[in-house]
Amino acid sequence: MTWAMDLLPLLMFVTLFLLIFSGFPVAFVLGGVGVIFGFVGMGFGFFSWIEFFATVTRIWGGVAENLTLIAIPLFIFMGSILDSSGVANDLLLLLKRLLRRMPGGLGIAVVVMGTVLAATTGIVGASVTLMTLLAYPVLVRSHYPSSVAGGVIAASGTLGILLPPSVMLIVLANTFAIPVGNLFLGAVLPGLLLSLAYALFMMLLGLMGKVGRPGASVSSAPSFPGDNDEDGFPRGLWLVVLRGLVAPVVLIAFVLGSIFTGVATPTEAAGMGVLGAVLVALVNGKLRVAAVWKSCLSSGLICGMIFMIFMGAAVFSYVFRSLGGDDAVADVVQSFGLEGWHIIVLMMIVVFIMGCFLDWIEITLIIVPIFMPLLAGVDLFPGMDQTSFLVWLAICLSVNLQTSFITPPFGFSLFFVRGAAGPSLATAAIYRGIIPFVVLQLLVLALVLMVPEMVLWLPDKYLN
Amino acid sequence: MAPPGVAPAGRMARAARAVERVNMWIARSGAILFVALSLLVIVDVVGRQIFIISSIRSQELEWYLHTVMFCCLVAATYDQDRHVRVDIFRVHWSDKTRDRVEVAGIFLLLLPFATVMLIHSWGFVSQSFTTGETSSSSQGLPYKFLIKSFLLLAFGSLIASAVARLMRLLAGAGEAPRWDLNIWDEE
Repeated sequence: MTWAMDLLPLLMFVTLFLLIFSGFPVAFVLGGVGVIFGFVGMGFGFFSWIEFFATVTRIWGGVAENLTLIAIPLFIFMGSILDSSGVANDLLLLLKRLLRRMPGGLGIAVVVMGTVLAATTGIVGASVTLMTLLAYPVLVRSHYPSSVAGGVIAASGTLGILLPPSVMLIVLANTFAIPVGNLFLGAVLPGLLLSLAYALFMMLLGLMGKVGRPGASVSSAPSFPGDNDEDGFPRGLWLVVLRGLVAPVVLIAFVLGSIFTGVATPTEAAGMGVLGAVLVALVNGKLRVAAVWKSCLSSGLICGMIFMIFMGAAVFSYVFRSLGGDDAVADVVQSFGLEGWHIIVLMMIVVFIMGCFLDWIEITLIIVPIFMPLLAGVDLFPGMDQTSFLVWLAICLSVNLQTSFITPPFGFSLFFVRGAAGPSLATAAIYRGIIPFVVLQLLVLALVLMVPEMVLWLPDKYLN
Repeated sequence: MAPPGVAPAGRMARAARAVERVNMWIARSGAILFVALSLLVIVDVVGRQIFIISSIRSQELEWYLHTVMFCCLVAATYDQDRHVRVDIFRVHWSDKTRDRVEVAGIFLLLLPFATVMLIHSWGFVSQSFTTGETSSSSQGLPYKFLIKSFLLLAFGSLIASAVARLMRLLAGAGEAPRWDLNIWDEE
């Protein structure tokens, strides 16, 4: 009987992994595998029917009566409304104008656009789709190879998951029981460093003559009607665009500022952000009842997806733990004599590999909790308090998890780019184009791992 | 009464459509709460700056609304096929294989999960009902048992949604019609 006790958690994990590849919705695979192994455990007498009742209580306490998670739908809603107000369009116009003479300028424009969209809307699927629709044809017309064009869009559009306000950071803060504000602030420098690295890479490609020609993009692009300047842009355009752009950026500065200064909780800031987004749409003349209603529905489907995974994961984790899964993992780690940095590096490698197949929600809700008990004895930086340690670790995980969006074969952003770009972009090309960005991302991850100050400097300066 | 000559497949597809329509209305009622929740948070924040009031009640109302919201939306998310799938292999399969896997998944994973959750939610909710459970805080809101009963709606409508999907697959009726959510192509 003891062999079953030892084997069940392992078997449960393997089953989860295999069934996830069936393509059945992950939330139901999690919940279903949890329930099935609960039954198997009942057969062996390790689990009881009434313990399923505890999973309902767990879902209720962890998901429903949880004030932190309310910020998630509100931030999604805010982003969706901002999206419909045409921020992205204005942004691309402005950037094309500003960067027209720089080597790789159009590529850099996409990176900057991804960074601003990340902070304002922050919905990866929407940002990537939108950027593909707006920028991909322009990039290809301007002599960017389709692989590079697809790669830079996928990578930049994914920054939204890391740069605050970000749903992933809220979920991680919840998992680690640390303040959301610290995580938001901690993510700023690594996020900006990433986008800087992308931009430098595009400039390098431009200087090497691999992409585009300075100015080529602009002169070959269709002109605007009316009074145009020598580059085919209407005069005074930048004024119009700036006006449309300053409002959302100011809005996000206020939202984040109110969280960082402790004036508002993330939920309150998100609620005020919704109000601000409605005002921005109003100023831009884009406020339509129908668009707001569609934002409600599409945000609703995203929330339905996220919270179903929460519920499925709650059942899976409960049964896994009840069958002794945590102890099994701890035993394995101890039998290899792993401690300190080894555990952290192991965690990063596991998360990276998982990230090739799963996305951040499942990893945050399933993999990270398994490692939690192992972290108790880890003391890497003498004198660092527990919160700072967890903030640093959470940001390392975030950078790592962001990679999960762009690692072939299963990277969400790659699918979005491919879906929106149409048949002119081959899957193989996008896989090839994304590799340099994955490498850049891993370099930044290594840097963040080795230099915790990169994460902790801002929270220490402004929050303590 | 179905008109004569309608094949059982047609009847099943129509039954599926009816379930999806109910789920859609549940989802719409949930989605409108995005507006309500935003307004509540805004009023709470502004109100606290102007009047010194306790916000225990409004904070409780926030998670009440939030819970009702996502409970209303999980079934429609399945109807609209918006739950995350790891589809690296699935994209290469024939429609027939996909359908078979979906049927197997519904019977082996979705239905056991949702049924066990529904049964235990029933116990969870009825316990709350019989004690007339209110907020644990003395200044909090009453009727907590009402909010808890939305768990029944979530798992109940999810089961209905799964049955509707099964009926569609058996009738060969394709996928549920998608909602029009495109906000960019309007202009």
